[in-house]
Amino acid sequence: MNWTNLWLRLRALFGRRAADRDLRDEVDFHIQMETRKNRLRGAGEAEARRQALLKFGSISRFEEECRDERRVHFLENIVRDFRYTLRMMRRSPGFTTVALTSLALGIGANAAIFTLMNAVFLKSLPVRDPSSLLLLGDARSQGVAASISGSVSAFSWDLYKHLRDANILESLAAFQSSDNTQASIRRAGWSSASPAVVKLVSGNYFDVLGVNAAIGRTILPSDDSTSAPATAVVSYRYWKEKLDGNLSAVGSTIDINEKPVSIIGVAPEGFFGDTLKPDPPSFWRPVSSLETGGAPANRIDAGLVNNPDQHWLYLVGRLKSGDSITQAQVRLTAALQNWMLSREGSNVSADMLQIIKGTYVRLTHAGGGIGHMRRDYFATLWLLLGISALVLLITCANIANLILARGTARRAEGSVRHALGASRWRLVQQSLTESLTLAIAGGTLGLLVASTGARLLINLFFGGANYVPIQTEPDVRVLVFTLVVSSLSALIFGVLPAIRVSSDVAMTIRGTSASIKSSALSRRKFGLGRTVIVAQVALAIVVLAGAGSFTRSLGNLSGQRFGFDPANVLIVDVDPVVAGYKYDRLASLYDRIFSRLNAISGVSSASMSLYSPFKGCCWSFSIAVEGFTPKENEDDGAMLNRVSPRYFETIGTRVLQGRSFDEHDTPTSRAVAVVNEAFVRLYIPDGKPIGKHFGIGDKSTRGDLEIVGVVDNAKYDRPREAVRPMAFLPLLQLKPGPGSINTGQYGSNFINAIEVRSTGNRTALAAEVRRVLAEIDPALVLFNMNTVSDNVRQALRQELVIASLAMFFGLLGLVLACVGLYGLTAYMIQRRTGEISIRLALGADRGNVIGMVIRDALAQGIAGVLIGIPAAFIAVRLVASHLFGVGPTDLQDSVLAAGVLLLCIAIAAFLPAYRASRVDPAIALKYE
Amino acid sequence: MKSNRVDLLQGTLDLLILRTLQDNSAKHGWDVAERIEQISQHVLEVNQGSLYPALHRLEHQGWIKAEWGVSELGRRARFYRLTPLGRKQLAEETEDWERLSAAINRVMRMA
Repeated sequence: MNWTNLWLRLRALFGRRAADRDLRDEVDFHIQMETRKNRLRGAGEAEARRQALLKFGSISRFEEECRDERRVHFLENIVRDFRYTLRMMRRSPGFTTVALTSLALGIGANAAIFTLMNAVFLKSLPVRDPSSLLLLGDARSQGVAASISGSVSAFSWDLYKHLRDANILESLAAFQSSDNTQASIRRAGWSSASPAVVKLVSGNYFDVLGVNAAIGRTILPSDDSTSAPATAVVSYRYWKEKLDGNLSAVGSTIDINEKPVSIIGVAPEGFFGDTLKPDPPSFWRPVSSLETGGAPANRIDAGLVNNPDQHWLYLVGRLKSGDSITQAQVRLTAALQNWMLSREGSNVSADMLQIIKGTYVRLTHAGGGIGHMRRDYFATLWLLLGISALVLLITCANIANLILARGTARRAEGSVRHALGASRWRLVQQSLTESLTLAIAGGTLGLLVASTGARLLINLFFGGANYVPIQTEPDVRVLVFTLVVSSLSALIFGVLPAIRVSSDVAMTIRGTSASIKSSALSRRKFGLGRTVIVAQVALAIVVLAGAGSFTRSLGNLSGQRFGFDPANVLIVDVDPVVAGYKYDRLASLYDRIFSRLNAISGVSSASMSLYSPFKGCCWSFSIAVEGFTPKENEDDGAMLNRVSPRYFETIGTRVLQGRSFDEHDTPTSRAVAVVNEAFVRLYIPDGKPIGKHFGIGDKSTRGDLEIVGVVDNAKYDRPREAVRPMAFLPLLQLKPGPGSINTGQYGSNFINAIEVRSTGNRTALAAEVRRVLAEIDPALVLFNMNTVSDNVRQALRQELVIASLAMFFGLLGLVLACVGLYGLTAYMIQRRTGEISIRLALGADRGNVIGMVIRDALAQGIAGVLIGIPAAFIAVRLVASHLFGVGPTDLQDSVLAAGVLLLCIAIAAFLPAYRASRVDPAIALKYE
Repeated sequence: MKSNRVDLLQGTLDLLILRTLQDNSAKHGWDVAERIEQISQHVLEVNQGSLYPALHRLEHQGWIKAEWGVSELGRRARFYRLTPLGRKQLAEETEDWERLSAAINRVMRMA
């Protein structure tokens, strides 16, 4: 393109009116010259002008062609079509409202789900240069591990320091792997302590992440020492909400777990740590504060810091410039293996050597955050996006229907425009512009739906959380996604009407209008409408089959036999460690709790335990059982829990053999255990467990614990998984021998839950329990009070969200499909009124004619069913791993959906057919 | 009725327009059409529906230049003039045309 050309085009675009006027002047001038020539030849004035015009031909087509030569018509037309579309939209508010609303909902639902996907999978952590942040391992294991092998994710404090000082990475920071480490916070002027999440991090944590304090300073390596004063960094949100956003909060002192700690700084707004999760930390404290007190203590022992064999930290770091990930992995692995060898001392066994050789470090990208939430929600969000995409397709089909029906009414307009010189491509282009305008407008409204919808989804997913650090305002990615989805929708629902416009032109040129002749063509003419009907029926069946499967799967999951009775049991989260208890004071505390709670009127039983059902279970240990030798690679583990007397009675698990614990099982009495049925099935081949012994650890322990009872299998963690072998120990019975006070067994005696069974009013009971516990010790912080049913529901939350959203989308899809089918079928039959009248006039039986019309309509529906049911089968198979007790061969949902849709079509066909059959043929024909 | 007029070959209109403008004088559209018809002794009739799109096309290609002037009727009219680029184009097309017509003539005579 040269410059003249560009100038001409721009002038033509912006000075369209001027250019058009010039063109008209030029034509006028030509006609005048021609008229003058004709006059000179002797023609009269009028005749001369007539001949000149005749010779020139169609002026408007000529103008159009000249504009084509100007080549800007494309842009120019879009602007004009856009204006025209807005006019048309204003002129048919009904159509516009229906189309825009359904598009806004359809696109909005997709955008809402994408907003969450964007936050969970695509967004980077709010840290410096997130793409270069690397995690050691893949964060698959969480909590505390007593040994490492294979790909290592969790590291001990000692191992961390070894790797950090090996100087392989530019920088390396550590932080605790476990979530939910709450602590009690108390401040001068507060009437009582309140819980908050506290996270332990190494002194260089903020430096490695590249995060500066908004106010004050972050934790420094010098703070991470037992001799340093107790310090904490507070989150921006906590500072704003609980500390009133007061600048003087920095430098002030608060009590964390009853220990004074000074606040040295406020983290920047929007910083939620290394992991995207509900309820991110409110405080960050140095790791060494574990020893000095004032650290979160749930399931983390003070001894963790100094125990090199307890692996509980995740490590993140950044490469030295010029290093590759592979090089760093090799060096880190070597350093790790060296450390393990040095731990073993001089006489390392061949087995151990083998294990050490197989232990390695893998580096994974951590810039998106440590990935628990990513893994947990990956499939769920994709599923929801899939379902909402199907619903959007149905919506598109509906709008295509509407436009097709309306397009027929506007056929005359199309013909006139063509006759006036518009090319077929122009008409198609205009039709597409209309669709695109509609879709973009719908998408814009959809953005409003999206942020509301995203907030709704967050509430559904994380109903129990106080705060979820996910922004629901659309960012660039969400905007682009919405634009793309809107354009795709426009393409989907706009293409059929556009094809129709271009074929209509051909038809009107032949002089055919709505007439009897055309009813012979109706099959071909409505071919597009028929395709839409078939597609819509098939899509609706797929969506409903999916929705039905998820709903029944949820029913199977929540209705299954859990092995306990979730109704009427209140679970109170407590932590004696937080309240400052040491092991030797536990016995009297437990006695008081047990007797006082069991004495509350209306309470049928109360108990205490380390773990309660669906509240994060349990510690897994290797065990050794009398009379059982595990074969190679055979499982030799069991889940362990410590419980008080009356525990099984309280949660409603049946005792099948022997007894449960009672007040005679004291720290000094014979060490006993109760096991579950799965334990017996796996480890007691003769089926007579009472009186048999087992131990925790290797063979030497196998006489430690005597089995005194067997309880029913109960699910403690995952509703989908089979019950694992489980052993229950009485509280405070320690393994005999020195040193045991520092092992995990010691920590396991600090209860985390109190269970209270009562049929009374829940609120009143909770208040009473709170009062009683405060009387026993006001320092006992009650973190949460839930019922077991709440906890089960929480465990099934994702399933519940999927099922309810799928059902919502499914029904929405069904209603949309029915409305669309009704509209299009009725419309198509109405167009055949003339044909029906003539058939009747020629003596056809009314019943037969109506039957014929209905059969005709149903044929398309059945075609849709024949496509939809196999498609539903495939779809359900694709999601089979997310279902519980439901398979693709459970066709009842598809069949039910098919029935409803066909009924809908039949009604849609019957009413207009019946009406048409009542019309006097003479009148019907007159209208032709 | 048999017409003694001949339809223009595809693409030849552009060549004829360029040729009529070769004498360096600016002409308006009607002039161009008249000139072609007169010189061809009314064998070639320029379809005015295609004349103006052709003029605009040539203008866009930068081969001719348009300007507003006052015509013999004392009215505003658009005058076209050949550009140097158009002159080159005309030379090329003339050569092409001569080769083509010579070839056709040979075939018509010999075959």
